[in-house]
Parts: sequence; structure tokens; C-alpha cells
Amino acid sequence: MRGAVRDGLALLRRVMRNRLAALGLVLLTLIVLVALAAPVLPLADPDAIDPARRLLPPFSAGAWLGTDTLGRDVLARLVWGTRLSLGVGVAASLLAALVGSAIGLVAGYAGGRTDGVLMRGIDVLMAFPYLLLALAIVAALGPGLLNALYAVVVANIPFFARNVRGATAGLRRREFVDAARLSGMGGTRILLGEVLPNVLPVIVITASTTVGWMILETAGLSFLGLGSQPPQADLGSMLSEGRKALITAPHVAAVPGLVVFLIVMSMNLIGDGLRDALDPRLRSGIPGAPGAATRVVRTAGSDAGNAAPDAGALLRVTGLRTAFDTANGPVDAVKGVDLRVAPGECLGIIGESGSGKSVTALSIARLVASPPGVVRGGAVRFDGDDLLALPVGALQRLRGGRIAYVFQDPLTTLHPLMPVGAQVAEALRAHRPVPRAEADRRVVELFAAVKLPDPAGLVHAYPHELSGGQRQRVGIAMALANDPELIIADEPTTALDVTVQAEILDVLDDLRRRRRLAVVFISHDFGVIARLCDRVAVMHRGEIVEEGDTRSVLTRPRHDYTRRLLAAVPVLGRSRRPETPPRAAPSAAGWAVEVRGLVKTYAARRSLFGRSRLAVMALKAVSLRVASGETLGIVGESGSGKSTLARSLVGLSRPTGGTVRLDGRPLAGLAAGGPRALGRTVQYVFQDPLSSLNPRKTIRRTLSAPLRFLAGVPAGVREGRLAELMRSVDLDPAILDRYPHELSGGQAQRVAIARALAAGARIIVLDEAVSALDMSVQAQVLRLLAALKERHGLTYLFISHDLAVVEAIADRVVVMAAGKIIEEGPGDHLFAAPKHPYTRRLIAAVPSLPS
Amino acid sequence: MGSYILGRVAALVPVLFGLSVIVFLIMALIPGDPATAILGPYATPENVARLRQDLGLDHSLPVRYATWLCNVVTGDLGRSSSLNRPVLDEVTERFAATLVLAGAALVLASVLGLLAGILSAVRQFGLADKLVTLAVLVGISMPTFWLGLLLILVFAVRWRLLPVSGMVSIYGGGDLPDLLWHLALPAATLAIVAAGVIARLTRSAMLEVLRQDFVRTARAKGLTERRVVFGHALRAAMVTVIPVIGIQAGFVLGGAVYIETVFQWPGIGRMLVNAIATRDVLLVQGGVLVVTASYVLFNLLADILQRLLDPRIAP
Repeated sequence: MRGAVRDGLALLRRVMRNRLAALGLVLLTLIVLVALAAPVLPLADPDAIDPARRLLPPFSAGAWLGTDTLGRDVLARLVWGTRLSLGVGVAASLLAALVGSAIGLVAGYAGGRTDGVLMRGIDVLMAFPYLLLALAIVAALGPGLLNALYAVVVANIPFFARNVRGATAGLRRREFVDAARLSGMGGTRILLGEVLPNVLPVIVITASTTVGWMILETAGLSFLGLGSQPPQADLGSMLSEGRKALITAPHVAAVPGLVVFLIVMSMNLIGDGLRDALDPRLRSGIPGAPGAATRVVRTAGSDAGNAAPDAGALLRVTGLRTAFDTANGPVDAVKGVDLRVAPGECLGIIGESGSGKSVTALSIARLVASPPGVVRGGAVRFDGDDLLALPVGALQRLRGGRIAYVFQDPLTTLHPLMPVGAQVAEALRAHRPVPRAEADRRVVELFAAVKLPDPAGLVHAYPHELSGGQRQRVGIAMALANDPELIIADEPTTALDVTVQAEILDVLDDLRRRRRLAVVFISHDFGVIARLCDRVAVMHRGEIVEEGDTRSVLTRPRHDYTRRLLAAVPVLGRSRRPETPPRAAPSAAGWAVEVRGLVKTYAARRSLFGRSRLAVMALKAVSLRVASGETLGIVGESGSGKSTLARSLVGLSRPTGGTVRLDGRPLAGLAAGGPRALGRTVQYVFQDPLSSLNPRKTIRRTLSAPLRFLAGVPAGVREGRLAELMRSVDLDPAILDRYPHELSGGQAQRVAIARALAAGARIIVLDEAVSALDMSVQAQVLRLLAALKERHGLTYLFISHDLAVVEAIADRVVVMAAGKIIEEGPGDHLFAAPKHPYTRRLIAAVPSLPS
Repeated sequence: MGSYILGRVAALVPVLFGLSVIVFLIMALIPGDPATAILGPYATPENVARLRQDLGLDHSLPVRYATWLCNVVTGDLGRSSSLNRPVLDEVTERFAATLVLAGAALVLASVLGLLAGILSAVRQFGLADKLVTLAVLVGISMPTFWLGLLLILVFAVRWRLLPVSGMVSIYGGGDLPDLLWHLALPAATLAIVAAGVIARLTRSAMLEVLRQDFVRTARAKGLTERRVVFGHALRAAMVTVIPVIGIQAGFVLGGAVYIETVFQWPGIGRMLVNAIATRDVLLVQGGVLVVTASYVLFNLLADILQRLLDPRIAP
């Protein structure tokens, strides 16, 4: 409760910081105060008719705003009318919000048939033009203010129901809701405790948008004579009466209309302020749309433009400084970087997240979003020209012409609504006036050059119809379109599976050697850099800490940071495994996990006319056994079924067939015994801690849930247990009162691990649990996991796409592909002598470091 | 595409069913005896009995619904008690006038809204953006029934530039220039709110899109800013804007009720208000049914247009 008040005050402060919203709030407060005070204000009787004083102009004696057609005091009627209009509008708003949000919450959370039925009903209401539904209801119930209110409520329910349902359905799929279920929370508690607080902003925003309409519409219905009936008068009916004397005494109609306008406008202003304050994207202070090129503000002396010309270099970056403007002043992302790339050379830039490597890459052709990005110093010389001093037109001729980019995630970097062929053709035609047919022919050639299957056919495909690897080949084809001299590739394979990554790297390497392309290759992966680059620069906190030829940097790192980074990289075949013999035998109590013939089929989605699409079989009779105290690694690429398997083990995914037994007891039985029995037996750690922790709950509340609902720890001793739990994952108990976004990725994942341990479950499923972490953090978390296992005798099922990580932690490994286990064995064995051809390909695809 | 259209049409069946039930219920929900309510307190018992018979009030609700639906499908919407003519004739005549008004307003609102929205997104935080933002705020807060009165005062009464009311001049009117002359003020008034909403949404959709990775790709290709904004960003933003124009069509149709009342436009909105006042229930039913069904069809067109733009929408 105290938290809610604090949140409310913080929100109010944020809204008030917006000057227009503050103005709206002051205006509305004044209007509301006057309306509330109506009974005690020294006003004339609003209904006292005085034919002798008809239609007096404003500022007449005894009638500041004049009188109306019946000689009634306009000011008094105005105050009372405002009171009535506001009351009706606010009541309608609350009713619509309550009913609509309830429908939305239930539909979004229940899903399935309930959702279908409720939302069809909402669709029917939405099928009516807004005011017409209200008219129909008033037509049935008869004119009157209360009936008008009902009508407006019904007409507005769909807005709440739809918005809230959308938000709820989105949240239901979020991992923190799954995590709450595994923490032993029941459905209602999750709905009210986890989902509702996250949906509340949506309700507030919808209410702030619709309350203005509702006041407007009730006034409108009264204006039409269908709302308040004489002698009762709201602003709408006053306006309607005033209309009769529009030409002789316009003030009688103008004044109530003006008040409606002011009320609605102040509400809209407050609503905008609320939206800005509640929308996380706006809250983080991201300013508007980026312009054509990054702003360059070089202060005197910071310009390294007059450095000695470097004849042999194609690209020469000197003293580059790029910063981001934030609410708290500029933050430097790149702090004086020097780079040199010769024609035909490949330079790798490696670093962890936040090292400034991508910003460096984007700064070269001034593609850093600006605002907020600003280049504050240095020079970027490409073939002699300083790109930072070039006019935008000249820069545009270079971009995609002599300097081309390949970006990370090809799904978001290609235009979703344009055929891929047209996108590549456009790159061609932006630089040369090529006839359309000629361009189309060139595109097919380019598609063939990047080894896309069926180049002529794929030209007409849309990005969403291609696989990730195919999309990235299109990205490369686009970069090659105008025979560039320099390609800047920003993590181009990070979003891809390891075998696809290997293919893409092959294509890039082949092309660059044949076409003598210079490449700047950004990556966080030493193996990838080693595979491709002649030289490498290591970036840390916006600076280059070490640079040299790839081999010597990787084998003989001089800088301490490089050494630490390299030490953190798990390398396949080089793990120092502790000398514990794998215990692939059941303990006295039996197997910890026993999976038999697990099948998961995603229901075929039948299209309307019976053309059923093929059902997707995510798991095809998977069987495995894990001994107590053992760590089983499960590796596979995307679509292999490894995550479905993991989720089936804790009941988050319901298998179509087969059985799962945990500690000898069937999962179905455990799950039937309520979330408690299940949550005390098995726990789950998700990939992304920020999505598995509820953003609106403190760490204390998140960790308290399993203690309370699973372990039944009484409130009195919970505090001690919380501190103990935090220390067991090497966290300071002082951060218990923080929110997830205030933690680093590594800290957040430790919290998620602590949550899994809280109720004493011995079997932990780790689903890509270290994949989202930076290399050095990943190494720490892996060490923590090993220590915890030792201390508590845990059984791990460790799912990962990263073979080296799995080898480092697992006693035994299974390899999954296309929903099946294709190979299994002790980790070191399996990776040293793979039997299945797929495993062999997988291992060969892992980029290795020079030894 | 064909299967998409078929799918959308099929999905309309339950919606049309639902809205026919609601329209039918207008009659059933009338408190007390509808026949008495319609004929008023001075009706003779014989007349009430005859009307009860005509309305089929003696039968059960489902039977009455089935009969009503059959009649509707064959084009029989009943007879208006206040006008003493077939509802269908009156409704089609009035609806045509409303379509002229609402259509003109929607076109005006879309053009103005799109232009203002794009301008204000591209010049974010500039003078044009501030002016557009202010205009949008005033526009969407405006009670149109009040704005209409003010405009009449200024343009028709004070300056005598435009006619006060009606759709055509009583003497010698009826040609296109005359119609446009009468249309200007009501259409502009009706367009204000919708233009504001469309401008505001276009602005935010454009700002959202301009931050996306594929816009950076377009810039990295070396495209001119003009091509980036209109060829890439606007194209993606339209996917969000088109459904909003579809929804605004509903607000414009609803707003027409006020505008027709203020400007004495002989459209279906004014007809509905009068029919409610005179308790001419059959006329209300017929009017609401026709307007809503047309609105549903209009949104079907908007959906199809959106599908043409966005190949990602599943068939």
C-alpha cells in the first residue's frame, strides 16, 4: 500500500514536470473545486425564471455572465451544469474502466474459449459507429441523463476491454508469470499480484483518453435532447437551449461550450502527460526521430583532422569521440578511438556489451541515431576525405556505394513490407541510374553470389518468409550491390545458429578475398573474429585497450582486460573438468529425472475452409534419465525442441504424450497436487532474467513468494532466510529493495537462481541460463552454479546452444535435432569423438581459437 | 488474397449476427409495453392492439427475432409510424445525404491528418511540430456541436460567406457547386476531431518507425532522406494509420448526428434523433442497422487495404 502511494506521488511528480500537463491539472482542479463548492458559493438560484430579465448580456448587474432565454442566471446554471456534467462523465469513466478492464483481464488471462467468446462480444460492440451504439441504447431506454450515462459506458467498454486484454495476453506469456507459478502462486494471486500491477498503466492511459470523450458524449446527448431533461441542466442541454438565441445572444450558447472545451482539453493534457510518464520508452529519455546523419559537434582542438595523411590506409579513424545526450548530460560511449584499415584488410573489433564497439562502427558513416548521439571529436578519413566534415549529400553517395553495412538482426534490419529483391535493387538504383530490368538481373546475380537457394524465386519473397540465415545473405547481397571497398559488419552472425553462422562467415570470407574488400567486423565472439580477421582491436569502456594481429592478441594478450576476457571464454575441448566420475546410475531413490517417450505436437491450426496446416511436432518420443547429483547438458540449435523439453519438465508445456517422473513421482501427479509439490521438487531458471523477474516487484517480494508459498516460511523468520539466500548467490542483501531494472544482468540472473533455490528444490532446469550474459559474467555465474551444486547436491538439466559452455559444466550431454535426441554420452567423450554426422557438423561449426 | 477476403467475410458473420440481435433488442428493451410507448398515452386500445399485432408482440422473443430478421433480409424494415412511409425508403434517402457529408469529412480529415502528422514527425520539436501539436490538442478537445455553432456565427451570420443550414438552396439549387457551397462548413466542422486524431497517430507511428533498424538500413544504403521518409518510413507507418482511419469513419458517422442537427443537414443522424424523440422505434432500428452495416463493410475494405500493404498478416 505504501508502495502504491509512493508510486503515485512519483508519477504525479513526473506528470507535473511536463508543463502542459501541469497546466491541465491546475485548470481541471480549479474547475472541479468550483463545481464541488457549488452549494456553498453565493450563486443565484439556477432555476429561478425571471421573464423581465431575459437575455441580459454578460457583465450585467447581478448577472456576471448574463441571463438566458428564460431570464435565469447563466453563471449559476454554468456552475451547477458543470457539476452535473463532470459527475456524469467521471461516473461513466469509472464504470466503463471497471467493467471493461475486468472483461479484458479475464479474456487475456484465461485465453482459449473464454477469450474467444468475450472478444466476439466486444467485436460486436465495436462494429457500431461510436455514437450510434449510444443512440440505440437511449432509443430503447428512453431519453434521460442516467440512460445517457449507461449508453456512453457501454460504448466505451470495448476500448478498455481491448487494451487491457492485449496487455494481459502479452504478460501471460512473459516468463515472470511462469516463474510466479513455479513459486507456488495460484491463478487469482498471479492475476491480481503479478499481472494487474503491470496492466494498471494501460488502464490509466485508456481512462485518460476516454474520460474526455465520455464527458463530450454525455454533453452531446444532452445537446441532442436525449440526456438531461428540463429543469435539470448539464452543459450540453444549456448549450442546446442557448442555441435558440444564437444570433441575438450568442453568449448563452458560447459559455457552456467553452467550459466543455476547457474540461476536455485539460483532461487531454493530463492524459498526454500521464502517457509520457508511464510509457517506458519516453521515460528513459529517448528523444525523437533520428536525422539523416549523426550530428557532429567538434570543439576546437578535438579535431584530429589535420593529422598526417596516411597514404596506405583506406580508413583511418583518429581520436573518435561519440557521446549520447541524456537527461543528465552527455554520456561518452566512445572515448578517443583510433583505427586503421588497409584496402582488402579485415579488422575485428571485439568487446562486451557497452564497450562502444557498435557505436564506433556506426559512427564511421555517421549512422548513430542522432538525437541522442553526437560525435564530439576526432576524424574519420576514408580515402582521404573526412567523413565527419562531409555534407549529407556526399555522405549519402558514399553510404551503400563505397562503404556498405551489414547489421545484426536481419529480421529487423530489412523493411518488413518490401520484397527483398526490391530492397536490394533500390540500393543499386540509389547510386547508379540502372534500368529496372537490368537492376533485377543484377539482384539475381548478387543472390547467387551469396549462395541463396533459388535466387530468381527469392527475389519476390518478403523478409518474414525467409530463414534467419537467408535474410542475412540478403543483407550481405545488399551490401555488395555497388561493389564497395569497405564493409562494416556489426555482429552479423550473433542472431544465427552456429551452423548457419559458419556458412555466413564462409560467404563473407570468400567474398572479401575474391573482391579484395576491406572489412570492419564487430563481434563479442573471439572465435568468430579469429576465423575471419587479420587484425583485432579489443574495446573496453569506449577505448581500445589492445590492438594487433589476431593470432598474437589471442595467444599472447598483453593487456590485463584481454587476458581476463580470454580466460572467461569457454573453449570446446579445453575444459578443465573436475575429476569426478560421471554418475550415470540411479541412486538408491531412483532417477532424479526420468523422461519416457515424450511427444509434443503443436495443434494444427485449421484455416477457415478446412485446409489444415501440418501439425508441428516439437518433440518426437524423447526419452532420457538423469541421476541425482548429475548435470545433464542438452544442446541443440533453434527448433531442435530443447526448450520445449525443458518446459515440459516443470509443467510449463503440456506434453501430448509420454511421461515425466521427477524423483520417482510422475509429473502429472505432482502438478495435480498443486503448485507446491511441484515447485518444491523442480525449479527453472530462464534465459533472460529481466523478463523472468516482475519489473514492478522488488527483489524482496520476488524472493519472498517461494519462501511463503512453497516453503511455508513464517513471516517472522523470512527476513533471515532472504539474507541467507542472497549471500548464497554472492549478492549483497542490501539490494533486496531494488527493482530488477536497477540490477546488472549478472545480478539479476543470480536473483533468478536464488529464487529457484529458495524452496529447496533439488532439480533445477537451466534454460540458456547464461546465454544472455557477457562472457566474463557468464564465467562467474557458471562458477556459482558449480559451487551451489556441490553445496546442495543439486541435479542440473543445463540447456544451451553453446557447446563449449555445456562441455564445461555437464557430466553427460545429449544432442537434440528436429525434436529427437540423436546422440548422448559423457561430455568430453561426445565432443572429442562425435558419432552422429549432425553432431560432427555442429562441432565443426563452432569457431575455435588459435591454440 | 482471395482466401484472406473470404476469411474476413466469414469472420463477419458472427459480428453481423451479434449486431442484428442488439438492433432487434432496441424494441425488446423498451420498458413496459412497446406499443403503448410508441403510440403515447392518448392512443385508443384498438390502435394499441393493432400495433401489438403488427409488431408481433404476442409471440416469444426468438420467434419475433426470426420474423424480424427474415423481413430485414428481404428489405422490409417496416413502416415508420411518425412519417407513415416505408422505413427503407426514408433511411436510404437520408443515408445518402449523410454519406456525402461524412465522406467529404473523412477524406478531408485523412488528407489533413496525414500531412500534419508527417510534417510534425519529421520536424519533431520544431515550430511546425509545435503548431501541429497545439492544433491537434484543440481539435480533439473540441465539442463539435459547439464549434459548429461558432462557425455559423462567424462565417454565415457575421460574414455571410456560407449558408447557415441545409444541403441545397431552396430556390434554384441542387447542382454540384451549390452542394459544395452548403457542404463546406459542416464537412470542415465534422473533420476537425478526426483530423486531430489521425494527425496525432500518424506522428507517433512515424516517430516509432523512424527509430527502427530498417530505417537505419535504408540510410546505410545511401538513400536520400526524402526516399527514407516517404518510401520506407511512411509505408511502414501506414500499417498503423489505416485501421485508425477505419475507426475514425465510425466517429465521423457518429459525429454527423451532431453536425446534421446543428446545420439542419437532412441526413440520417437528424432522422434518428427525431425518431427517438417521437419514439418511432422501427425507424430507429432501420437507421441504426443500415448505418452500422455500412460501417462494418467500410472496415472490411480497410482490412483488405491493410492486407495489401502488409504481407505479414496471416491469411
